[in-house]
Amino acid sequence: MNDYPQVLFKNRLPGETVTLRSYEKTGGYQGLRKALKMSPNEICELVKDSGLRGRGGAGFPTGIKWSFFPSKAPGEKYLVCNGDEMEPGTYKDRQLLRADPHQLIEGMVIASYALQATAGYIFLRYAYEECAQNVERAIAEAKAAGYLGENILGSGFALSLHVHRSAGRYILGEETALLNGLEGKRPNPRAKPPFPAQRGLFGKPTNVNNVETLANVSHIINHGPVWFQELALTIEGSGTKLFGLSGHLNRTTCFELPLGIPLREVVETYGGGIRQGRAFKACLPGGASTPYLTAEHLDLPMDFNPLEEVGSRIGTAGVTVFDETTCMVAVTRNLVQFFARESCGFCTPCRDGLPMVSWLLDKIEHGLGNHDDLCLLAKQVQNITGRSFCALAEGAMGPVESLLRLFEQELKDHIQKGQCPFL
Amino acid sequence: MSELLPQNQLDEFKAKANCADHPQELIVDLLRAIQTECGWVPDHGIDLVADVLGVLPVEVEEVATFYDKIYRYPVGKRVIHVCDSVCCWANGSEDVLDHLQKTLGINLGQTSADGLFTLLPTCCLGACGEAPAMMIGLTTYGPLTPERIDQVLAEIREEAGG
Amino acid sequence: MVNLTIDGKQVTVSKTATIYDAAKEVGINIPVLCYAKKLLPYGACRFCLVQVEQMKGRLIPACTTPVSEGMVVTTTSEEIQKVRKTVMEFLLVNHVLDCPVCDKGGECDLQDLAYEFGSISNRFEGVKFDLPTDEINPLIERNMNRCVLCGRCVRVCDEVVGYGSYSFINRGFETKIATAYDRGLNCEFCGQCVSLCPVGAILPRPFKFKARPWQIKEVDSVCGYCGNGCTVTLGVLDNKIETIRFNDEIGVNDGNLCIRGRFGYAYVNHQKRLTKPLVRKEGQLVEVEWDEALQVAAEGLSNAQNGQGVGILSGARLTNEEFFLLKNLAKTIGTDHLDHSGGECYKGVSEGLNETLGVKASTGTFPQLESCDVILAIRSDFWETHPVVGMVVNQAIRRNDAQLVVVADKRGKLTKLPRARTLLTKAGYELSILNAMSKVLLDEGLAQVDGLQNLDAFKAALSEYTPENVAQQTGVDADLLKDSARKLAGAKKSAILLAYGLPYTAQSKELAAAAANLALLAGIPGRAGSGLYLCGEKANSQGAIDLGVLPAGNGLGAQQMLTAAGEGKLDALYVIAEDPISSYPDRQMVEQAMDKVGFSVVQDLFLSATAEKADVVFPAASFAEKEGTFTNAERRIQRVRQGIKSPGEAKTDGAIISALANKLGNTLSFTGEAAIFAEIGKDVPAYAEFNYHEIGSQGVVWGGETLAPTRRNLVSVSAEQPASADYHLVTGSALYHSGTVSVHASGPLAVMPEAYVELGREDAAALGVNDGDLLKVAGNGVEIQLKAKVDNRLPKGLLFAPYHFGNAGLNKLYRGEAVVAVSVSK
Repeated sequence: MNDYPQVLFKNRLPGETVTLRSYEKTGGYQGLRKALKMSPNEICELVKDSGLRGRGGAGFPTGIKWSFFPSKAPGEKYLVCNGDEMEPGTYKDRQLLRADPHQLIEGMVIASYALQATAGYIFLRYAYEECAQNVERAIAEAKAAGYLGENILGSGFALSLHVHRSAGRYILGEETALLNGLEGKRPNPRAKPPFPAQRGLFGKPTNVNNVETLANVSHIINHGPVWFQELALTIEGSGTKLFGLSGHLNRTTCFELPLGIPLREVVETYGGGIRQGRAFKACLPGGASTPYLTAEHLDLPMDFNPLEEVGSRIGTAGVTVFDETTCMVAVTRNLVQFFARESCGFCTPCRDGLPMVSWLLDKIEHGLGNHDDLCLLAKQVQNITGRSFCALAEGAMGPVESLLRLFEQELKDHIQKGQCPFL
Repeated sequence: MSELLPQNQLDEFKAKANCADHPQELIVDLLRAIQTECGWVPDHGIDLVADVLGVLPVEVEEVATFYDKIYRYPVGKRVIHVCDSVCCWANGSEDVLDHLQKTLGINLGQTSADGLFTLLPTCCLGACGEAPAMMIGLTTYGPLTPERIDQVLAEIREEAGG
Repeated sequence: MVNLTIDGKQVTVSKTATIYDAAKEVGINIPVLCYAKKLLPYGACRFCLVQVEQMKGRLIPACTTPVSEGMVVTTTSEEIQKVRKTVMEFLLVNHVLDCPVCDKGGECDLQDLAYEFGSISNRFEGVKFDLPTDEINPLIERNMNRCVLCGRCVRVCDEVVGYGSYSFINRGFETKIATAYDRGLNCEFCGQCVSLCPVGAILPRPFKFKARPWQIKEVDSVCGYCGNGCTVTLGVLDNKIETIRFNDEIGVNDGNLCIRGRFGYAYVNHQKRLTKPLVRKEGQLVEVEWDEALQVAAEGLSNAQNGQGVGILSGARLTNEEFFLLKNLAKTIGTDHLDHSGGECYKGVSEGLNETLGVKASTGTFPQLESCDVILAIRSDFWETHPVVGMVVNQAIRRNDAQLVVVADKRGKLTKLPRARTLLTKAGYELSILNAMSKVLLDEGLAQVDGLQNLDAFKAALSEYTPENVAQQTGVDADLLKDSARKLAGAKKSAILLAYGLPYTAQSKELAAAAANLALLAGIPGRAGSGLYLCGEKANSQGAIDLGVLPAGNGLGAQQMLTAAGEGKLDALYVIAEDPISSYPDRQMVEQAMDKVGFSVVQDLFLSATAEKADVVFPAASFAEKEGTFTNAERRIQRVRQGIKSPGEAKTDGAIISALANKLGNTLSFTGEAAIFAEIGKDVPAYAEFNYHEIGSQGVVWGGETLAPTRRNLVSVSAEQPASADYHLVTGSALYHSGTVSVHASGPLAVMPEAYVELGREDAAALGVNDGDLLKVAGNGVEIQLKAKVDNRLPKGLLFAPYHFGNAGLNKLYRGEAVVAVSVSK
């Protein structure tokens, strides 16, 4: 049913995990062979040209991130794969690692070579034990085949990869918190600067990329930047994206679709439309921290820039859809509760501020709010956004800000009726 | 110490810690291993980790109490983590929780009288396409219906009973 | 340097400065809660957010953001104030507002900020914290309901103190600061967390409900205990020291203190302080007027002409000015028998360093230690004798990745620091290890030998000290020893630390010489940033050396005076600020001296064991009751300031000495300490360049930051073989006490109330001894009983007993040897 070119999911079969042999049959590790004949700098340039942007949520251009990395610095340098996929509504990396883990391994070897990293860590969340085992198996297979370890494919380049199993907390997805987690320290985020590229894991230069981002690398090397750019439907976009669908859709699975695909097509064709024939009300386009989109945005191309232009973000492209019977105040309260509970507790606005925003939303949802509470809510979005130590609290304000912007009437209805209008 | 960790595992961790440049990186692994063995991490488990890795007990404690899948208090044989994040919530996670609470006769945070189940909330499990979901041990279950929940509980009871 | 603009003012600061530092430079105060000058940037409270024109769109934390060229910063605007006020409201939602009964009220940062932002009402509602108060220890109370989670306590305990009592536990809204297992605070009680807590969450218990901060008069002085010379701020109310406060703005040693400085002040207020002079009449010491006591003393001393005359024994807690007056008095009396601190322990400085380097002091300063790459500490007790230098060592390790090597007979806090390498030796063999390290440097061609005198003889004398030989003798790994020597030689900046004092008498000169030899070979003396530190036990140990409170010409040293007195050959003894019966090695000898000497005068704060045997007892003033200068172990001359009047009729040592000199016919008089200090400069050239009134809050360091050696002479020294037995006893300092004065201070006593003997678990098990059991320890023909303290610090066969508690009679066994062969039984 998916007519678009499949890159990351091309080998994906229900309930199966691709072995090294079948991965190799479809061109696996050809990218690595090609990459090892290039200079590290050439690879960085190629990735830069491809326009690949980070798939973990922030969307920073990967090639540019790599170009900041001190690959020539002596001593240990690390590549860390961020597989702490805990953004509500996001489960794409799980699908990828269930189906085809070698793509990650190959991508990490190429990336490590490009960055001249000496070791790599794959950080996986607690719930993804199956993925951890898949990755460990893939590492063992790759090592046996000479794609990992000492003197990879006779190139002289050496790399070891390690799997780290976490023990559950959303904040670990923040890259500096993740590094603390890997080091066995309390996983609060670290101050930046210094950035991980200067002082990361164990104080050494470290580059952190998302699973899906790294999985794209071998394909870019194999087919070139122009091919990658042309995968997207928008002119400025590049590549495909894994869209994990959830919420009130008829079909809630993960699809690989081109960036730039209209939201309507995602919802109607791939999501199979809204359940029980109801109408689309809103969606979180890319996880819990991305501002809502509404029916007026259905024809927007799902890509980084178009979403930013309407005040949202594509984030992880985990699309959570809400139907017309959903109370958006209640949705937002649920989201803020999530963020408040997952706050690491380090800085004041996040630790003590988010529970207050949650308190306000709860008050309004229960019909106990007044006009002042609405004003206060709006002020808190300003007072928290951009004021906290890391991006968690700011992310929490994404849905709140868009609730105030897009659902003002719904908020007022709660106050006027003295109860939730959806009850 | 033997009730915390089988000797061979303990030796393995000690060996790893001895040759590691940064033994502290094994904290989570060691805590998880102790938990697998004991069901939770008691105070002397913290001491053991501190001892094996050469760090202070408070340095272990600040890590152990951070993660929600490390239990620093006794729990039932199986911990049921019910997802309450947005996708599951939008698909009836509150009903799932109600059903579990009624069936087990406990509230969130409590352990069933037979000591078999502890009920805890969790944030998103990455099973958003299979909402509403829960996780027991390392297995994720979803989409959940009251019937499916009863079936899972029955299977676990049988496993535990047999 | 970097140029930037803050609120329209041009600022030029170093490129490592933060926006907060830069603002402070031009007098702009940005509100902060989690920031502390001596801690690493943190950025948690979010009060210090400012606008930076080049970083539009978000507010920037001033305390963590480094400056950059051309930055344009705005520190206050309507927007910024709103955000700060909101942060305040967030904090106050759950914070208990019990300011009326909170001891911090009046100097609470949260209170001050709330006042500044006019946070009267709160738009939010939440549950107030209701956590139990931690009152399990007698010194520090923790009320976590008042905590703002700034983390300053956690950080100072880790970054500075290196103890690690605290950590954050749980997460998010439930985050709190806890001790291990949340069982309450039980630590070394330095009180650094008390000093740094911005709110009333951590408070000194002895000060609870004593006074409001604004009622307290603050007087900056120097701690009267050890040679570390930390600035203490006396908190005075109604002529009583109610607390010791902290000052990181002007203090020496960053305002860091240990338990002694922070909680050890209470002896000053002690009820048993001597308040009137005493004279022995019909066998009893009775209170008399000053004039009578002075008259009796003067007569006694002038009549002491039959044998070897008068001997003067001083402690090292007099000020430099008082030492000067004392020397003057010795001249008036006409005696050369003048000495201090038992006469032996300081010989590492006066002879060891003098013969090797031609100087009689540490060659570096404490702040320089922080940037050393390699630090060699001899004896793990260094942390116990000089805790705040220990903190600098900790900072060197944690902040600058320094390698610490400890040569010691037991483990201790130093050996537990990150990456610390311990060369654990059999007791009494430190010297052999230093010699072996010197040999390694010479044999491997790593030594800097240019200009060294006596090289060949030195090489020859080291022939037996091969690493292998020494390894076999001491139990230290030969490779580790070699590698440590190489590290020391290879460092850009390095330091060697050795403490001395009454319990470290044996081979004092030789050990210091061995350290100096090694330092010379490693190129340490005279190199900027590097240093050899010999640190005295008492507040003015260095001053006593500088001023020459030493036997003159053929004068007798302390041990000789006591021996002579015991044999009835010394006519009189004048003992000042010292309790030799309690603290000197070989108690019998001291007791006999006091019994046999014809006439004795003792001058002290308390009626000590020595004073009880005296003919005249003068009540003296404590450090808090006098003006003058102390010279600390890094040669820093600092002003001691009077905070309170002495109790009763007690007088300063200086006043007593002057009065006695007058009685003896000396008409010399000085108007105040400044005049005496100027006079000191005439005898001690190093002091001549300073003017008393110009000694600022950082003091002045004589000889400069790096004291250049005047000779480079290798002195061959060899180790004495310690006696062999199944059990060996060593003595020394314990962290909680200093000398014998602190046993009158309730703070240290609360933590360490009595004498004990410490032994390792293995020995305890073999002897069937549990913690707290009474143990019989016998050696040198004497048996004493001590409570056992069992832990895992000591190796098998070694016992340790601190020397502070005179009543325990430890010095009946200990006669100044490196180790005492003992037998132990239950």
